[in-house]
Amino acid sequence: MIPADRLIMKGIYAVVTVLTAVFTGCGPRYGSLTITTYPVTGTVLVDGEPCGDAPVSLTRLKTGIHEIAFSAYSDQYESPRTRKITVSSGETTTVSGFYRNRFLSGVYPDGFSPADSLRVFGTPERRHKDGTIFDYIDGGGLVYLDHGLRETTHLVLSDNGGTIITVDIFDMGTPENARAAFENESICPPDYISCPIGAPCKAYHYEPDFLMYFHTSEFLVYLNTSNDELRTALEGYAASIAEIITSKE
Amino acid sequence: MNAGHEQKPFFEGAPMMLQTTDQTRREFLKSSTTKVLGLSAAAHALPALNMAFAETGKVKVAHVRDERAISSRNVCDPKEARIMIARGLETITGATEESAAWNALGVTKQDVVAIKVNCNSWTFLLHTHPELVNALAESLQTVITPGNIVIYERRTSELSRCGYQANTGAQGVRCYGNDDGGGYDSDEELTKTVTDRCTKIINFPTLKCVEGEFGGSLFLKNHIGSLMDSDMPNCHGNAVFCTEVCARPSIKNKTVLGICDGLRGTYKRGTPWYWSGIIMSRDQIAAEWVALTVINEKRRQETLGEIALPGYVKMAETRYGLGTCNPEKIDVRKMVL
Repeated sequence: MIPADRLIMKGIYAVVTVLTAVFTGCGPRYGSLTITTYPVTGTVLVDGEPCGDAPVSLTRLKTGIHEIAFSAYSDQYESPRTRKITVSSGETTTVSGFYRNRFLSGVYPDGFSPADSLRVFGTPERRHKDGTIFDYIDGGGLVYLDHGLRETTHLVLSDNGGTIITVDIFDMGTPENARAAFENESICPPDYISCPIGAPCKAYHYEPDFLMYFHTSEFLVYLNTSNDELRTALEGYAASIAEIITSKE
Repeated sequence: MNAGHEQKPFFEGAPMMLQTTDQTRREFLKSSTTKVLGLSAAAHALPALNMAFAETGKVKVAHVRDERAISSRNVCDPKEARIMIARGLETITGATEESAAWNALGVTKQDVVAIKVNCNSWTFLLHTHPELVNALAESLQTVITPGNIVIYERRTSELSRCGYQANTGAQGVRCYGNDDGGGYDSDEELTKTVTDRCTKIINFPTLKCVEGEFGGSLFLKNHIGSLMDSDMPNCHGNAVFCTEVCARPSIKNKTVLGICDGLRGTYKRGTPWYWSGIIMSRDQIAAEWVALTVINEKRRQETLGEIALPGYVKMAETRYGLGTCNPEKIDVRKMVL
């Protein structure tokens, strides 16, 4: 038997606890969480539950530790690591997931380095950091979309003399799509030059430009320089990109 | 194709030739009907030469070629560019002074003139050459102040990539993309550069053959760069839409001149050639027709099928009254400098 005085004390304690919670706003505590990804739009999981494409905003998340994970996007982009973050009451916690490019990071022709940050263009249905393909190739982007384009990764390299090399990697979704795009004369005109780079390649020399397309796996890759004296360097660079893509399969 | 500028003497102080038929320079030099001009490229006033052709009642299209204007490395000579612009203006207006030519085109000192260039050539260099556009801007300054000239394209970055000096400041010739152009007009769904800022428009595309439905990517297609981003999916494979865009009031009513940069063009999709000329007219549809004939001449030489006059060009005349593509109404004035 519990003594009556102790029952009374427990009752008083319970009432005080409830009143305290009511008047101080205690009880279950919540915070907010905002998750972004960069440069591609990735899918976010919180505590194992899919939360959709970034950016994701959760406004009534219980305080405490949560696990943030990012789904795989493609072979070209390495997913951000899973991390645990603490959500505090009444505060907004921001998490940014960086998808690292595996094909274009740190591999450049001699004397060249990125002139700008990597740009990534998506589709009207799935925008990326720099918008859609139409933000890059105007209406002509439809030709690529017709072949299943998922996203376009664009990098500009320059040397000290101001010479520019442009690299575009079109993720076509499947190897079949990439091959079909490569064979489409609206993208790769006839009258091309073959280049031995370890992948099917079509090159074009239009003084002073030299440009080339090749395809491997689900990717159609385009390289261009406005200084055709760099043709050999461009071919070597193309070969190294083709090798990297192949090795990731 | 010329071998390069280093070997070519600039004409200043030397004779410059003008002709009205399609002749080579050599033929032209032999011609007794040519007029010899002594011009200074820097001079604003054109020489006292009566350039007026007999009035025919037809739309005049100037077809000006100058092999010295572009090298085989796609380097444009600014002095030659300046002369080409001057000759073209003189031809289509008959005015012997540039200021008079601009006045004849309806440009007065109060006007703000927007020049729509084409910098969307992401595969290889096929943009409106900055030297030609600078020459045009210099010529305009015989009538208006530099601050009343706006060179524009869809994005500032596209202009910069093609060698233009971006300028969003208060001084000098402005040069910026729609992303720095103050937004879009909600009624016409065009950049405010076109609807609000300018009072006159000069359309300055390049000589591009894209085959397919469009045939050419010329004057009518160039205003894709005046559109809102959300319209980009509507442009490709939809030539009728591009014609409709050119019929929107601000573009239709403000456009006073069309010039096609054919220094380096394409005669089939993705294949450039140095045509070394410009096509100029106050009637863009007539100029579009002439540009297509130039492309077809090259295609015949290369034993390729000719591009038929696309339906959207005819529509520009019949439905929207933007000009004429009827050869019987077009007076092509060819000259080789």
